[in-house]
Amino acid sequence: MAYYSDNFKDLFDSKIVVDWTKKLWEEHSEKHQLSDFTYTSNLIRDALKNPSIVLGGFRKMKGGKKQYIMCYYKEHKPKNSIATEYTEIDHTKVVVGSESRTNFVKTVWRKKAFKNFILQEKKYNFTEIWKNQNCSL
Amino acid sequence: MEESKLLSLIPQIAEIAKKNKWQTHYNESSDAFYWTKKKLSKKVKLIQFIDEFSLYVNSSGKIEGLFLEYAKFNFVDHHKEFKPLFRAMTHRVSADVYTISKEKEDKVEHLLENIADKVAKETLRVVSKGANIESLLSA
Repeated sequence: MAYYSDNFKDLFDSKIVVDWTKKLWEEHSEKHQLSDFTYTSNLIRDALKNPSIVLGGFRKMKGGKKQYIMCYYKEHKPKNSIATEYTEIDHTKVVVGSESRTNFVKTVWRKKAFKNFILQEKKYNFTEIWKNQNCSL
Repeated sequence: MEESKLLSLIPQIAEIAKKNKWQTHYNESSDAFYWTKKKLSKKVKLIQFIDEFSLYVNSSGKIEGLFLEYAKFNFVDHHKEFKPLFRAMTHRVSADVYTISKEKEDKVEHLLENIADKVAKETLRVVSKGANIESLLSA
């Protein structure tokens, strides 16, 4: 039964839902510092609608299965060309999975990280789907 | 908060974890691994200054845990020595979340210590290249 649910549209106008049980909400809210539903929905909405970069690719899963996921990164206060590999970048990441023609939010967090280590998916051959010109990632 | 404080704590992660009884959680749905205090502080910050691992640091500058993305199906593919750790995470906490089963805790404890060592070594490498870890802790 859904405890935290909401609907969003990404920059491509695709519908994306979040539909978490109470237990899932409690786990995410503690581990990813999601203070409440409103804050979380705003974080997700902003990253999906105005991302800095979007990557898509297949993630391995249990039993040898693969799932297509899209990662929406929203850079807060982009530093543009002055960003070096160890420039700190405050960003939000939203991971969206697809199953049975439904796109759903798997996880979301906001953190500060050095530029060099943010796009983990590049190591796993994800494709760059979209990138904002001002993005320093 | 001074960078030196955080830097001095990083080599002690394994001891901090033991002292504060950190718990492991593996989320199968997101393939994320957490090794943290049972209850993270409300004002804890998630920061990442090395590859793979992020750290939870509270407002006093104390480390409260580690977080690893793409854990079992990517990280372990490239670091097979940690395979037994994930194999030991068979005790179900909730629908998609697992922790180390009680009977296997002793057998994989050294692997958690190895993770702590790996984080410490990577941190030194990054700092030696001139990275300013303090910048991640500013508001």
